[in-house]
Amino acid sequence: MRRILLILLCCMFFCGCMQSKNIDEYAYVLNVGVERGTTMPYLVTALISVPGGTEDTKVENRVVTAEARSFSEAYETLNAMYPSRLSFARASLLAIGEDLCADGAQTGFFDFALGKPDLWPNLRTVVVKPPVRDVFEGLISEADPSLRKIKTAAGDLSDESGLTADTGYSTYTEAIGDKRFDAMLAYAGVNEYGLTPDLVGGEAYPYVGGSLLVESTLKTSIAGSAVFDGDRMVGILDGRHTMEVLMVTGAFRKGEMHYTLPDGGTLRAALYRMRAPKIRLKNGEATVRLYLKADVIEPETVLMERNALKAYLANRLETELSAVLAALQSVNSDAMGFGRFRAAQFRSASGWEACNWKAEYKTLRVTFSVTLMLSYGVKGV
Amino acid sequence: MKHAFRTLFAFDQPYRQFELLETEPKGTPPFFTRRKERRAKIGHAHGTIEKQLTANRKWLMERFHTEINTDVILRSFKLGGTVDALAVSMNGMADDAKIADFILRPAFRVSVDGVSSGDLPAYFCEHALSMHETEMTDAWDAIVSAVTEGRTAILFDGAKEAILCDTRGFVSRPVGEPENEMTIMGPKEAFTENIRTNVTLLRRILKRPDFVCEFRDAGGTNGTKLVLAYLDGTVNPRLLSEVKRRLDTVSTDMRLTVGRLEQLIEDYSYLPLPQMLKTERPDRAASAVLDGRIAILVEGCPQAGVLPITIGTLLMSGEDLDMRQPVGTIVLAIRMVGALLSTYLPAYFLALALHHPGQLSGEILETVVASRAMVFLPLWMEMIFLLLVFQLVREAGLRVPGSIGHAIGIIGGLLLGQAAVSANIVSTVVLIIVALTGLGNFAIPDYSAQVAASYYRVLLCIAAALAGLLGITVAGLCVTAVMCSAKSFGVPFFAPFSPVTRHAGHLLFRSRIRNRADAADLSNPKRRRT
Amino acid sequence: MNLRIGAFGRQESAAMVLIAAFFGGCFGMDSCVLHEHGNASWIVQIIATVQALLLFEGTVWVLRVRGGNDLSALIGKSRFKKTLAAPLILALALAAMQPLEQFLFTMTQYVFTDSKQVTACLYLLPSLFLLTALGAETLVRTARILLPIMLLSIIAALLSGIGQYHLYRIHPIPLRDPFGIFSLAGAAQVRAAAPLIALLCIGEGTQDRMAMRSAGRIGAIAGGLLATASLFALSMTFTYTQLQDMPSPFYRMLVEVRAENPTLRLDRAVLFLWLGGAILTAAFYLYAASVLFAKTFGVRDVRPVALCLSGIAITLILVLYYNSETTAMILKMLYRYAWVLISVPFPLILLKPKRRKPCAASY
Repeated sequence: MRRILLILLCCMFFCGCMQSKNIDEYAYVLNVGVERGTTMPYLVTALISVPGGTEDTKVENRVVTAEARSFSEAYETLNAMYPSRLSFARASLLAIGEDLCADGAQTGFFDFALGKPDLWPNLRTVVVKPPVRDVFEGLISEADPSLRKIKTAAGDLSDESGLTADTGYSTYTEAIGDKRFDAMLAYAGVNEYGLTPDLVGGEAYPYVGGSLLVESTLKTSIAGSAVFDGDRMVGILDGRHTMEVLMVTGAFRKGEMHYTLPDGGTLRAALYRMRAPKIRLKNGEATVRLYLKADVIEPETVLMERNALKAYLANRLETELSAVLAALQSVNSDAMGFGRFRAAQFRSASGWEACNWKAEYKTLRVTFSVTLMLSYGVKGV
Repeated sequence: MKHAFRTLFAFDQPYRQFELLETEPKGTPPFFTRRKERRAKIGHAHGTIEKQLTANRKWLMERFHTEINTDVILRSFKLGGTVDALAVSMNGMADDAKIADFILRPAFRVSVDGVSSGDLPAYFCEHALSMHETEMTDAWDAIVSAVTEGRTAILFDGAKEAILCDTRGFVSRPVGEPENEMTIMGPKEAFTENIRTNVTLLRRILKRPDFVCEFRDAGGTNGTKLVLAYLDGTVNPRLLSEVKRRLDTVSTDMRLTVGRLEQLIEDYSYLPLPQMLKTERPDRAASAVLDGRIAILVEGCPQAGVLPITIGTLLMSGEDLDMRQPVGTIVLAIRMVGALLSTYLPAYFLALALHHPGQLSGEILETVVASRAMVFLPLWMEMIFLLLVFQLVREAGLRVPGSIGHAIGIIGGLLLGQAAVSANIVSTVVLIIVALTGLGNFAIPDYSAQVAASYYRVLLCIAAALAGLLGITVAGLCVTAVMCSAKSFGVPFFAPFSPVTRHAGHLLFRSRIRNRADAADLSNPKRRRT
Repeated sequence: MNLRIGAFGRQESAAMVLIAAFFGGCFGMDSCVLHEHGNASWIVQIIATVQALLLFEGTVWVLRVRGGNDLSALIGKSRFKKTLAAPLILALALAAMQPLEQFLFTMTQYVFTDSKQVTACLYLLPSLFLLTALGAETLVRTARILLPIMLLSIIAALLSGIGQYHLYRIHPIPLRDPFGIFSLAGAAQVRAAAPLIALLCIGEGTQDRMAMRSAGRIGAIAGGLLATASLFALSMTFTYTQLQDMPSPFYRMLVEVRAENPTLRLDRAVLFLWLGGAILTAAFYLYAASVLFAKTFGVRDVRPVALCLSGIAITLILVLYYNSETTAMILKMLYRYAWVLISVPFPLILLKPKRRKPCAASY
């Protein structure tokens, strides 16, 4: 009996070996994108890193595409057409085509289990102006040794300048599944993206932020953001308006503003967040208090007196914030996330679920109040 | 193996483990209970000597096979010119000059008129024998044992007792420097093969009256001697009696060394980790004795066995306490990292590369994949192959003397590695992993622990190849549990961390050295910290 | 009798209870059930820990009054000892199954996606067998050794996700629904009380009732607090609607950190380190159940019982995957209403304590 038990125990160790492949039998997908297909609903594009490609670089990047009805089908097709097994474990960018987002068709596509393609659940998600292939090819550069480093820099762009949103796929799905806020994703395109009209309109913004300087024919740029109502993309905000939304959501750290002053002078100011924004919501009215510090970069170009400048800047910001909110309310997008504060007023899940927040949001009256600390002579962000 | 199976599967067996810390079995183990049985079994007892010298001479000639064994010298002489006497010694083991000057010369000169035959040994001892260490005995066993270790036995016609004189004068190695436990600071003396010299080395450090060196028969027919060295009044008496009881069960014809003795008296034969520390440094053995442990010296073995030990003892070096606290802490931390790298690094790399490649960053992935571009062996096979090559180089370097050994290390390490990479047998990344593992292994101070780490490394590598991190977790948990259940002479292996006992904090992280006059708490010594 | 309980100190037993309380609290939960009323898992954990502590203190008090070192001393005096012990053994076995089941699911769903559950189970079995067969002394000593590493990994995991925490996600706090909260706390009670019941089963190894009481208190409070903190962190990482659809929320929390980390990703290393903790927890419960079984039913050796219980537990977990929805439903219901298995026998065990003579009281 004991021997049988022992043999059984030994068998247990050897009967099951977990399925595995050697590290070099995989091809590693760096970016994955989806847009509307021509023959099938979706066109999936993957940017693949092939180590040991050429003698000089050791790494070769290739863009492959496949049309499919779902992500799992695309996964199988890509695997079948590519000689190595594809691993999505190191993918760090998910690009969704603007055409797909416009009618919320991307939601069905990404109803995949996390496990199967081993996709990182919180990978950076951006909306791109199709074709995705061009955007990915615009990222490839022979001059730069590592594509990943460029993307890390792209991630830092949001923190450093506030000109674009930095949203993970997890947050994006949270926004779709929960009505507390609407998603705001970074917006990327090739060369002509700047021509896309801004949702708010008004004064033309004097500079384009966030352009990735990549030496290739196609030039991929990220700036501004796409705003959503639920799972539908409803518009685009340029860098400055994105920055103002981020100020309210609390994601803004620092950025730079350019203004033409009433006296004809120009102002360049580096803005920093001093404290987290304070938002109060009561009886359909909200007050938003922002605490910012502004460093005037070239004081010699500013003729206004200090207190007047301070008041002007605060007032200007409050006006612009109101305009952005009005634009967002017009397309029913709660990108500023006032729903988060409405949800906190409920003491049961059923109560919150019964609440029609989007209807309340339409008529929400918000008072913005900016507390500004002004200083002169800092070199800027 | 049978014992291990029985332990695992013999149901309804009581929980029998010698435990010093908590479980207190009733009564103390008996002393020397099995000696008579053992002696009878292997035919040790040979009775006592006769009164007739001719009969004794005949017995000795038969016992030592003197017709072919010319080493044994049976020197007949007349005591005081009248009484027949016989001096028995072993050529080469005994000093001829001592025998001639201090036994034979006084024997010829002494007058034994009026002394009865029975009193001759005592009379000769008191009036003629000018030797310091003498002993009277009538037991053949004692005489045979004494002669074989270089002493001289003097037998007299008509006397029922013989005199044993210390005439040992064999050639032995002088005290040298430790070869395997080299330190930068601290003493440079090492034990030798001579047990007397070894005891002297210990006594030179422990100059206190309660330091006891108990000479014992190691067991078996060879008559090997061993010494139990401990501080009386400090060592846990239960530990001492248990060690004595276990030593008493040793009954072998093997040549005994500390390593073999350890295996004969330990609890867990199949545990790769040693249960006794083998050190060639007297200062280390003395420190252990001061801590309330027991040191065992075996004749002919240039190491001392220290018991009980814990995992901390195996990871400590002799000079750790000589260093200043901040430096010592860093050195200890590096050693711990080395030990961990040595055990887990290849397995972790295998697990990541075979089962969880997504855990490696893109840059590392690219480097690893590029290095394996032309290698034809599967990764797990490559790793196991290189680990085996590493052990091969190490063994070859150890067994080959001096400078050639170093050369083998260099040739094996550099040329073979370079050639293997050029021939696409192994990849550079795996080579680096194995080299790091090897370095980590050498950071473990104890040789037996190094070998044990190699064993665990291979076990974990196989588990990692089979099931990745799941395999490592399961195998690691099993290894940890087995080590937690193991005890070295009643002291749990992970003491003083698990179970927690009071300690001075010199084991995993160095604390400040303070004045203290108490022993380590983990073996429940009599003189304990308060 | 060969129960392999041995003898151990306070720190070791407290470490075992802490590990069991944490892994039971965090990894035993059915995320869907626990978040049906909102993001209240951390409140539920606090209530369940308090309930478990009250139960433990009451039992120790009765032990003091009646005299005895462990639970079997109380059950052994009862006329219906087998009837009283059986539900507790079942409750411990269920508590052992819950974390293992969740880790098994996580492994096969996210890590070994091409492998079968039965293969992963076969890797768990030897370690469970070995740990339960080696006995209480080994279990608690292993727990003491692993505790610093576990604590480090838990704290590191909680700190690394700090960028993802947002307080708005804990809303709405379901304070208007106390009945729902208490019913969830009831379901969580087995997980919170199991470490203490297991400690009571092997109480004679702690050598002293006082040591057992303080080890239980320290372990349960520290483990409960750690579990509460982790659940609170989880509530700040995901909304309750997300958590309702999330089978392995803690693994998801680990991978919420951004992917551009230039060094190694450690989420799977942490996951498998925690799996070690879950195996240890399960082995502790199964061993304690085996001891209770052996003492109550008069089996002279604990190992056959422990091996059988481990085998049954793993088989039942596999049944969840391979059998029909009905079987899975039955097991889920058992998990949810397992508190009955504790709530019914315990009052009966503790009923009518006879006061001992004052001079015989040990403390």
